[in-house]
Amino acid sequence: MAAGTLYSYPDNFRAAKALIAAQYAKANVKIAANFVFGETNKSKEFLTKFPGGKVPAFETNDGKYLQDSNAIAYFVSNDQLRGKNEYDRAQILQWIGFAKNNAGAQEAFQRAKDDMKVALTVLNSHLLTHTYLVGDRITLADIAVACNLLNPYKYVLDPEYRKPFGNVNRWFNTLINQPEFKAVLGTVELCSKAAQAGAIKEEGMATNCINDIGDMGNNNLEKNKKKKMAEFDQISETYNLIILRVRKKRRRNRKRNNNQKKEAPKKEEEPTEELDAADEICAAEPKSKDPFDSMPKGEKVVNLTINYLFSEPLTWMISNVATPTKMRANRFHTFWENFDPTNYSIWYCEYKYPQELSKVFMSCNLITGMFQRLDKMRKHAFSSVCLFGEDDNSTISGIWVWRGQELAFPLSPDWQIDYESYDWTKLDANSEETKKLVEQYFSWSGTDKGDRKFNQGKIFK
Amino acid sequence: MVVRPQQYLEYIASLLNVKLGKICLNNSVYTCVIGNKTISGVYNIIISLLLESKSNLSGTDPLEKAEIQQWIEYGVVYAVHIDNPHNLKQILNELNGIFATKTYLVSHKLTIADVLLYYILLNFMKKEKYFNVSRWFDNLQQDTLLRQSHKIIDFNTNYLVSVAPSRH
Repeated sequence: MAAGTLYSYPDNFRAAKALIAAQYAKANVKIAANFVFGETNKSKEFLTKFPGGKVPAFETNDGKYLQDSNAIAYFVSNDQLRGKNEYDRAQILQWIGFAKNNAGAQEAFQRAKDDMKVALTVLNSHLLTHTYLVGDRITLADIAVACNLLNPYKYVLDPEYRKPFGNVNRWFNTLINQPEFKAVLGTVELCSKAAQAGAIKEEGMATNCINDIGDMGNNNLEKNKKKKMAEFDQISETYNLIILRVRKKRRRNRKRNNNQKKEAPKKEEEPTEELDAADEICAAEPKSKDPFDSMPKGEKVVNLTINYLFSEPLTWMISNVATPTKMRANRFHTFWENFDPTNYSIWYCEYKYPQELSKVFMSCNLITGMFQRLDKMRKHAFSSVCLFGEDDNSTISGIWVWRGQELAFPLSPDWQIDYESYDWTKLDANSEETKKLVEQYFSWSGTDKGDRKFNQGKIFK
Repeated sequence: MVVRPQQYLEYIASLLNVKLGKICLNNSVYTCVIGNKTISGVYNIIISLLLESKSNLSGTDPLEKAEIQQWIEYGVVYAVHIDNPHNLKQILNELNGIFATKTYLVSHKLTIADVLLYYILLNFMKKEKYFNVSRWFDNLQQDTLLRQSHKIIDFNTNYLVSVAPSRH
């Protein structure tokens, strides 16, 4: 029987596949203690075992290594889960492939909601005549597909959206209530009401998902599907409210920054806009705790520097041709002088799937979408993310600075949507290389590793 | 006419691997001997068989136990009249509604309630139309211990119907 150690960050739905399979097979799978995402899996020791540096990764007690959640799940499962004959096993592979291509949680957020509907429709018609995906018992296929649907069911698929997929709902409900699933996932609470903003807890995710649904509603309008129109109207409306709210928040933040710049210690001006529906939603929302609270507070001067450096990014960064080089160099000098490496860290990120990037504007939306979902990080982080190359041949990479020395994203579930699509490398703030890299990215110039020219950049602050 | 208790009690006893004495009708109450006790009443017989076997088909908490009790009652009082075409339609309709959102009758696992209903419905399963009941039934009959010597009811046409619905 398989026994070993699983490396993963907490609440990883991919790791859950392996853990659930292990529950069924009663395999002895331990979770590696002290795993720090972005550190443990970037360490030399880890990389010699798992060259990809990805999690989940599995090390057997007799020193064998495995990567990829599905492979690990297969390894730690038993014959019932693996399928009882060749045809069943082939079908299980088929569904695992389906899960990867269609029902991926992360992909589902980024892709049009239509794709999710198509995938759920396929599942729904299969589950009309089948209790489980393959054969008459729970198999790896069920585990893989259900785990991939876990986050969508938790955060996106509100009752209205999932209503047409009764068979999928029944199947999913049965699975998450199996003792083996419960042992790993605990009690799974399904998304209750994404359509009503008051109930939204996962602001980032919900905004995004509603974003997607809203887009879809518009498409359907054009297709003259009146019934669907009604269905989406309510959601679109909420979506608009949320967008409004986000814009307002940003406007207000900008105002505040400007006030600070003038160094006027006046009382903060009351927002002149009248309260509208968006604000009401804002007010009704429970105040969320800042995930950065646990971090030691950095020197104020850093914040000031950040503000200074980024106060007029549009004037000095975008038009870097027009800005005298000296002036820019001065700004960076001030930045490095005031940068506080004990409380802040610098990171380099690189989008993992550049081959999937097609149109430049779509890639830009990918970046801004990520920024939007990271809204709550703005206080403590800033970054410049750049797109290099042109349509169908481009890469995304960027430089991030945030409070704390760890990868900040695991701090809040809101922030975990995008970051897994990027490779994160912590940079040494004292090295010349880092300085060059930071200056390159913050001045929006140069080329990427593949000599693609700088095309566009986005600032997160 | 109704589905006689002998028909399903023997299957249940054999599934649970418990010896069931001869079932007699005493003052219109079914009684039989299990172990060395005389049990009267169909519901009591089923529960005694379950207790005797120590199988995992019983409920784990009071709510599940109560629900199981309800479904056993539904089975032995109501579903046994399934041989009447009018009742058949109604029962299958009801169950079809239940199985739209549930995989098993009680909780999220197979219990004695499913088993009992399976044996009662055995000879009356209608294909098509009742997709949800069919799916449940099909899943249960794949278990050879449960099915015993019964023939597998072929639901393949069901699958076709769901892909390409036609009117009859």
